[in-house]
Amino acid sequence: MKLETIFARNDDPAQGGVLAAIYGDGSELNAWDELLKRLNDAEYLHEFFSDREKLLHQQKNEIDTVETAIVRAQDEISDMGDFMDGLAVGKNHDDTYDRLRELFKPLNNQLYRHVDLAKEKARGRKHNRWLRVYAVRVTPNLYIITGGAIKIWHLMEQDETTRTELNKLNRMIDWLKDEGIIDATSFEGSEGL
Amino acid sequence: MTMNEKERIEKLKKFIVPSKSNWQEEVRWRKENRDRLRLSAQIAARVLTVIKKRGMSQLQLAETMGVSAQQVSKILKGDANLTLDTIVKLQKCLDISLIKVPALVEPVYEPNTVSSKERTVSFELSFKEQFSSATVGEHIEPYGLPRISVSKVFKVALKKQGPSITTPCMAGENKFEKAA
Repeated sequence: MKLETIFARNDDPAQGGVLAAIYGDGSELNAWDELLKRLNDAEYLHEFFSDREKLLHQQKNEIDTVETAIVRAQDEISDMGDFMDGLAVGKNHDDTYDRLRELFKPLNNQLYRHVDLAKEKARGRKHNRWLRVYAVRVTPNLYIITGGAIKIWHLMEQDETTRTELNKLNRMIDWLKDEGIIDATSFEGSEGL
Repeated sequence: MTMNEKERIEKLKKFIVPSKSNWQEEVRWRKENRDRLRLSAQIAARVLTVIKKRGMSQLQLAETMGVSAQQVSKILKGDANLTLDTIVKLQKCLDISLIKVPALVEPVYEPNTVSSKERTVSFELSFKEQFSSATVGEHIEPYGLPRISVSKVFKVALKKQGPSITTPCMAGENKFEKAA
């Protein structure tokens, strides 16, 4: 596995920033680029929502069509992209890292505070807030994005797409342990919900 | 930063490769072209819905349109900068409507005729530009605008033009003059 810098303070991840995983499973795209590409693809979203159309009708603000859902999902990823761009532009400022810590929350909703070496998620900031960006928090100011998804159900285990994302998070943790970057006892095993 | 954190990062750095990503340019380009991309995605979504319902493949659509499969694929990703020619082809081949130019109406609004004491209002509505929200009454329908409740139009028209009058019309009453 390799890592690619999304942005870093003074171009040094040791000072803080966001990295993204490159899994090398047939694609050289990092996890952040892959997420942007996937969720900006109307064809992918059409198939995704068509397969889960019943769930759309159960949403709080009922979504009446697949087409409406596509527009909303793309609004969410656009907004997240803009937000991340704003963080990258301000990468050398302290408040960027406050905002980064506010964006990402522990994956386990039962945890009310950040802990290091935890699985974390960022939620979309618009509409139904379906978007998830998943990351491992390595230090208080450094995150590694492992992937992302549209989540319109409660538990990650409920759908193949979010199960895949949970597997990626676990894969990252295992890799960090295998490479001696973290030790087996230091990880806060916050399981996904 | 603690010693542990420093050690962690130093080990991590071995695996960081030079960035080839141009994600920021991509995000900014999407932001600049947001309106157009939104429309392209909506058109893509509509075409996908229609061909799915009809059991039509992308290849069949390409053949019907007389374009390459790659072009159809690009259209359906929602990124293509569609020409009017392509949109018309899609409309014809699928026998659907994708874009329309709404009717242009120019009624005249004169707030002086409104009486705040009475609960009915009689005035002419004027829109100096195309008014995509509806005006009311059977007088307006011939102009191609949908009918909505009197009170909604009252509030919307006032927002566009000026002084606020808080007494709405009685719902269902239609005292509007024929638009100019």
